[in-house]
Amino acid sequence: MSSILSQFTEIASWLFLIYGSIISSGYLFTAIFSLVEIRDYKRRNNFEDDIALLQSLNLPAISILAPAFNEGLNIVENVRSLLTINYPSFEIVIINDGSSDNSMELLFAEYDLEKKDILYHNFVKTKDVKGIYKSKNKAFKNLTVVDKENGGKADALNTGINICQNSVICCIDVDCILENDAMLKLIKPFLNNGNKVIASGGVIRVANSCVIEDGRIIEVKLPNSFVARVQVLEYFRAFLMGRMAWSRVDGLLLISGAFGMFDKQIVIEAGGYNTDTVGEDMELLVRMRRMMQERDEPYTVGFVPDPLCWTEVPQTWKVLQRQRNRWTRGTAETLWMHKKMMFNPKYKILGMLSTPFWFFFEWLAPLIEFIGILFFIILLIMGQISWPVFLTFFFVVYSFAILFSVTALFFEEYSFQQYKKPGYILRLIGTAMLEPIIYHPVIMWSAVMGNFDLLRGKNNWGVMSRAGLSNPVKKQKSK
Amino acid sequence: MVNFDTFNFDVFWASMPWIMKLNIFFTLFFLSLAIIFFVSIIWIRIHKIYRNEKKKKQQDLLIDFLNSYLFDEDFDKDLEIKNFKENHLKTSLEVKVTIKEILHFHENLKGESARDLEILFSKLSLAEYILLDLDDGRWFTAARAINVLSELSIEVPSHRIEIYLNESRNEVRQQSQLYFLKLAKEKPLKFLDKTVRPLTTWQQIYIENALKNFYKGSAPDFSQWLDHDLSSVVEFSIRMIARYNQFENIPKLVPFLKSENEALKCESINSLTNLEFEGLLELVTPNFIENSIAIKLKILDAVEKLGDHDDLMKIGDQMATTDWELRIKYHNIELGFLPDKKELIYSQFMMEKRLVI
Repeated sequence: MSSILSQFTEIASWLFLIYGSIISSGYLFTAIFSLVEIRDYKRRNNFEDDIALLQSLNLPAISILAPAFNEGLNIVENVRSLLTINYPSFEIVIINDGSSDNSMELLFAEYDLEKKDILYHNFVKTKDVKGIYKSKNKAFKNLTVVDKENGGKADALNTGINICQNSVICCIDVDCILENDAMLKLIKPFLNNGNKVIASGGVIRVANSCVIEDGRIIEVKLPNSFVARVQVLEYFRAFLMGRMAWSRVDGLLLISGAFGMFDKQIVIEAGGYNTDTVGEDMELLVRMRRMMQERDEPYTVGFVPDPLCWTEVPQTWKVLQRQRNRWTRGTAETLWMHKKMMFNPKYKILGMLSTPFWFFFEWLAPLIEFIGILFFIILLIMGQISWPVFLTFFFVVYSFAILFSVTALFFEEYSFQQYKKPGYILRLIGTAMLEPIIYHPVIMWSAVMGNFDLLRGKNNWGVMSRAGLSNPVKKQKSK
Repeated sequence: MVNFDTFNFDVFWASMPWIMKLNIFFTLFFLSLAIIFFVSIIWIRIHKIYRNEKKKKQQDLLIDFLNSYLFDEDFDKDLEIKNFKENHLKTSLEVKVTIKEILHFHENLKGESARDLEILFSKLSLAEYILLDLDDGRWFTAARAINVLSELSIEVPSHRIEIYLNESRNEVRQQSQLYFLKLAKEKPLKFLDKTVRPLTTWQQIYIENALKNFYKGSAPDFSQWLDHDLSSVVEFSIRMIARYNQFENIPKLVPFLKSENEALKCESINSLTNLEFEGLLELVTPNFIENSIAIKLKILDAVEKLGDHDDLMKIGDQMATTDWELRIKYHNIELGFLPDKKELIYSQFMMEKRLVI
């Protein structure tokens, strides 16, 4: 019995070791590719400022789609901020997704809305539209407000896609804070590429604690709460390391739902956002890419590393857990829906690298980690733990976690250096040292619960309360 | 308790299981890398602070120097330039900041002051640095050098820039295109004759902007590139013919209405619409049904701008009930032609929509 147990322990230890080595190598390559891509991007953009083009009338018009559900607290200011976007030609489509609060009344009053008979077709099937409204005030001629029955974010975006006028759409969260040249930078990949560009995404940054004036970030501050601060590091890792590398090899599978630009026609041909998943942003891009690959049409997906969009991240453990639970379900659902792509050479890099990577290292990693912990507990109960081996193994994992965060921080320093105060770096290093012990177990548990909830058939978003941006004049967000 | 008198590290290490040795090795390796990155972060921070201070110092110096050079009549230009060159252009950072600051001033000044800055640039021998960059061999240095040359109108033998016209990098191609355009006294788009790589839409926008804002001569006859090998150049030329109201070129655009290249056909309908070519509808409406959606939408645009309700009716029969994008556009145009029937058209559309669904 004892020999069987020790054999099993050895095999399991080997498996954990091999998995850990592969995942570490994967991250190492990601870091190298990201560094190359960031360096290349800086070189491409360090001698000319495209901002002069904002005067040009030759840039294509963009439809900005912003779904809103019970955003009454900040809807007026958020829409006002969107209306000040610096771009020659755009329309803002706010889709009120059956809010039960006073969002519509506030919009009516503030923007002097009136119902319009606008012709549109449901290219993508959606819940019923109650009315389409435009402002009587010419100052807000770019604004369209759609009031519809509640159907979720994906359904709201699909409604916006059906009603909007332009062939390029930008899907954003209504409370996002955009940089002045965000639209110009995001549309550039569409216009400066030999291949057809079907979508482009930008880097999302954490707005908590930042100083905001007239809907613009005027001072970047490090969040005061630990939970939000760790997410600063997470966003560095996800965007500056992860997505930059995937962009380098044209293997991006996700453009954040908070800020992404798409070719409307391709979105419609792919069937629009999927309302059956909580990971609608990832699922849409995977489906669009899959469709293009199956059609054998040359195409690409753009990615812009500049900090273009700032968003408020959860700063309580409860909301964070709900968010990560949902992300896990979204990832699992997307991978399941497109399982045909995995290890399928027909889908090239997507089939041979991107989807396997997401399966093994994004979806499976927390489960393996959880099983590892269970395994440890079993060995502990059976008195089979070799404490020196355990401690050295713990230090390997811990040191790798710190290395990963410090590398991401290095990338930020090398590229955009948004957190200018020297003290911020030390606080971020401190956060990186605490993260593996305090934050990471919660994230892992949320992911495990996400899988469990998925098996139970849970498919709702959960309440995502935000502290919000209530004073557009000058406010430190979520102080 | 470890007895250090009898502790032997070699024995201890040798007795350790291999997995522990591996773990210790990786722990030290990862921690060392983390420390290296941490030190690099601090170094980058200090380097950037130090660099920014030097930059600021040089910028302040330059602001005074350039203001005096441009606007102070008592300023001894030759002597001060000599002093500046000897004392403040010693490091590559000083050179870079100086070039950038002169460019910045140049952007905001016109006429004689701008010319004075160009002269100053040459007197400070900064052009030499730029030419070195041009020959540096790295694409991003060459692109930056060409950018400075074009911004300050510094002419170099054409062949030195022409080699970059068909570079693999978009950015380098774009800078060389703008160089030829901004420095041209006449024939600003002559570089198109030597262009063999397609123009991206972004480049086309830049070229059009530069043509409008920098080129002072008379507009070229864009029809000369209608038979160019690159369809992107032809497309650009078709668009420019309309933008510059070159009505005399209408007959040369008409054949493109039968082009098999969809982009060219689209652009020609668009340009002929903008040029208000009266015969356009007769040419494009009879075979409306044979076109792709993109072209049909352009034809509808043409009907909206050049036609009337009767013209619209002629293509109404050629539209399938399920062509929703076309039908929406069709009815929107109809609403424009018949504003008093707005409610009827809307309710009819909604009814049809319900029936089809």
